[in-house]
Amino acid sequence: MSISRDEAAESLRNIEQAQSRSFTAYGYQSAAPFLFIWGVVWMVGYTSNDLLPLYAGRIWPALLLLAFIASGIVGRRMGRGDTTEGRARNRRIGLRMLATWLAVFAFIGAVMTVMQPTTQAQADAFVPLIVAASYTILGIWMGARFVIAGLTIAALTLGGFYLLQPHFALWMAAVGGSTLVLTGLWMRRA
Amino acid sequence: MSVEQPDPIIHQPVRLKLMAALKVLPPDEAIEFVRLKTIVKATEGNLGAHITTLEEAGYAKTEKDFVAKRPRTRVMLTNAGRRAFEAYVTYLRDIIGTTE
Repeated sequence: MSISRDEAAESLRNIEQAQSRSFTAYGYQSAAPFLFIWGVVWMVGYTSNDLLPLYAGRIWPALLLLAFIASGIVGRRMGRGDTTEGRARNRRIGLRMLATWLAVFAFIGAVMTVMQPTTQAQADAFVPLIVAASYTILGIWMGARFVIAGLTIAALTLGGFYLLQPHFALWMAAVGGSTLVLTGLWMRRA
Repeated sequence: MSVEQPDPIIHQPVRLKLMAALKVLPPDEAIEFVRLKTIVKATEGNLGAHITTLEEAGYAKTEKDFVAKRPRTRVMLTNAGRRAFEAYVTYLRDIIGTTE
């Protein structure tokens, strides 16, 4: 059995297409549960900003801690931990994820310190815009659904900031959180 | 590594796409059966039969579990499958004269 040059080229094209689709699908599969978790965090956190502003400073750190723990549990369940290599790989990914989030929060803290937002709405809008930019950039490499999620979050954030500022936090809780949860569902079904 | 003849297990078009889709995953990572169906654009029965062939050749393995009380099947390449696929791609590239 042998194959022609044209058949070989066609097979290589099929391989490339299958790998591209698989890479995107794997990205969606991996991201979906984390979008649920952070969507819920947004809903609860931003609701507390609007309804319980005096306690928001305590609620957010507790929510973030819970989200980190939940993300760690989900990440552990997703990875295969039944081999030594699998466990070592899970640990490496877990540490890199933790380092990534610490870098993101350090960056947000540094920018907040330097830029000194003068209203709560400005501070509330900053993190969603960072998230929106991150998803958009990620999507350029990983798949269109991340881009759509990023642009939707950006549009909703800017729309709420300019049109609904008195209840901006509640707006972010409802539509920002829902967008993350729905995007998670959408990616799960991809 | 170069081979004289294409591996008949991988040479079949659906199995070739399957192997390609699985090879792009990180080692030790699996992808859900339902996603593979979309990626490869095969029917459930057809895909299941080809996965069985790959399993019998030692190129792939499946894991079955339950998530929220719903059955889930995940598929991944074995080390032998990765090596066989790499050899097959090298074979194809040798034919068109574009080895890496």
